[in-house]
Amino acid sequence: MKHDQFVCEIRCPVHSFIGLTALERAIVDSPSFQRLRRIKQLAWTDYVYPGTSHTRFEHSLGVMHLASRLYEAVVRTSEDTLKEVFGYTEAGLARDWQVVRLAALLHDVGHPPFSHATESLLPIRTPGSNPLFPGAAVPAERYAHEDYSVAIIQTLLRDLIEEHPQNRRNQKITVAEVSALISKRAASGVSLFWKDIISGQLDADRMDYLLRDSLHAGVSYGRFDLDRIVSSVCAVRRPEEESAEPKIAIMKGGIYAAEALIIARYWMHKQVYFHKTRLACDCHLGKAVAEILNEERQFGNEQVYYPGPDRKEQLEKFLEWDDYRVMGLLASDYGGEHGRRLMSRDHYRLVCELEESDGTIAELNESTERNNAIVQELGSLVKYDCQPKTLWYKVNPASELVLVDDNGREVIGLLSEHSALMKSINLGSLRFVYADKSDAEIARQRYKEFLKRYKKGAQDAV
Amino acid sequence: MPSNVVFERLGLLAELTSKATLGRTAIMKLLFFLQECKGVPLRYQFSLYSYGPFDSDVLADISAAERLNVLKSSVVYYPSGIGYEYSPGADAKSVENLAQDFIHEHKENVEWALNHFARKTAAELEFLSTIFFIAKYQNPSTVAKLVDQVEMVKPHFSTDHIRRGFEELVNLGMLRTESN
Repeated sequence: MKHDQFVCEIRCPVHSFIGLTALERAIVDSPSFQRLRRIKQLAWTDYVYPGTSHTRFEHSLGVMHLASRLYEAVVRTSEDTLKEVFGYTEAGLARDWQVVRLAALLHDVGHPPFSHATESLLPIRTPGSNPLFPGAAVPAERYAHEDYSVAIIQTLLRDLIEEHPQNRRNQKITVAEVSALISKRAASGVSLFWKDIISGQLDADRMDYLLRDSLHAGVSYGRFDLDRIVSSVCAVRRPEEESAEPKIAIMKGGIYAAEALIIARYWMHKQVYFHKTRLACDCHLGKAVAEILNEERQFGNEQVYYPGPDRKEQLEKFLEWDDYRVMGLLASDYGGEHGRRLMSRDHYRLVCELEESDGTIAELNESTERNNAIVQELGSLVKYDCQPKTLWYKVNPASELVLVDDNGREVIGLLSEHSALMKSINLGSLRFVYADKSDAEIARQRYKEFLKRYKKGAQDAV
Repeated sequence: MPSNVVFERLGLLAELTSKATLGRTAIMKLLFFLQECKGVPLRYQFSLYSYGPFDSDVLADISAAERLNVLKSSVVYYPSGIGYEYSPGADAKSVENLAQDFIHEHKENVEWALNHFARKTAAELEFLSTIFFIAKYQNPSTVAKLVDQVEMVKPHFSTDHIRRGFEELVNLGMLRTESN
């Protein structure tokens, strides 16, 4: 596969040199992409891990680099399957290499300030009607950053991508094709097979953020054998009874590297992403930015939320929001009580971390009820009841990876079935309960007393 | 995520597999139709892939259901590799009891999904769910545009085949032609 040449390289702390084609360089130079230099990858996590001040800019470059490594590996291991199923030619493979890289480069271009920490302030979309579907076509749900990424690509970056000399003369890649690999809803484009390496069970996004966040946090939890994983990916045709379409899978030789990736995600969630202080700061940040947006509204802005992605002028207003602007407003005391708490490190304090049991249904139910009773017992002392999406749901999608033989042809099962390690991890959900700093000790004491009573009650029942 | 949603999802898995032995693709697509067509509030976020609408949370739920003995899997051997089929596990009744109100509320929808889709092959389910997803979320203004869009995702299906798939969904009341 002979793809476009790189015209420059950027030094990356994780992947060393990352090459850019002329089209990619033009995108990186655009204001929309340069804004990512001002969006921190992990929001306020540097309050806990001071090194984590890295940005979506370097992450996006890393994802592009990794996505193309995965793409090239799949082409290397499964070229016959790709040509047979999708009718690829050499030129077609080289073209889609560029499509995948663009999608990877731009997948996060629509992040609000401080990344996920203020995503809850994106507006709710208006349900629309649809000529072929008898009902509200699009539910009244909150926009996600991917919706903004797609809108930016399709409006602000359309000409830059579709009219770029490299693209117009050769590949004729459309923004719809690039968007289809990012959006949950967009579908057009024949390259949808590759969506798995942008957002799938073994995707470049997760792999890059684990390595990058781990490096900047100064922890080793997020490391895994990237080279082994890259050398083990393939496209496999599953038994017809299971699926008619090929899927990205991992060869048996990569099983230990895949396990290490899953463990890395588990540890990073436990140690970094779900760190008690980080979660508290995210809470304050969301409320402080809401306060700022509310202030903005008083000066004529109709939106309590960030501007929406549906109109170009709104989108341009959204892009004016970045970490620098929020920090400036926080420093000028526009963030209300929660802004003050952030600036003076007066964040909520953890009272208890409640775990659910995943042993049996009865235990799961009992632990859920116990946790509800604890929160009720603490009553008004609880300032923040944080229930991140349960660990089952987001940490380990890779455990359901399709495993194939080392020829990359025959499905031999799922990683979760073949890995004893996967079966031994407790994947119950976590719940973090916070109180004001001044109330934290009282709340902890009340929690301990509750547990004593609860255990005694359980013993008496026996 | 509130735990009652967890029990509702697990309860629904137990209910579906108590009525029909289902593979992973069938479970994924039945849950998709239940949520996206019948409005059963499962809080999945399906995204379109070449193999149809997919949410890795569904696989995580199946995996969790197995660990909790709500489902049990059996390996099925096919000429080109192995697959899995699911039936209720020893603790299926416990979770069905916990989610009984939810299951009762959506009983008719579950029967509808099983009657119309449980016996279809994985390829048919991937195909029909792709048509439905594109019709609902891509907002094509005409059937011809819908067919074009489906063809881009599933290039190995003919225009006629896609039209027949669309008509099947219209006959089930899941989609409508421009005129009705």
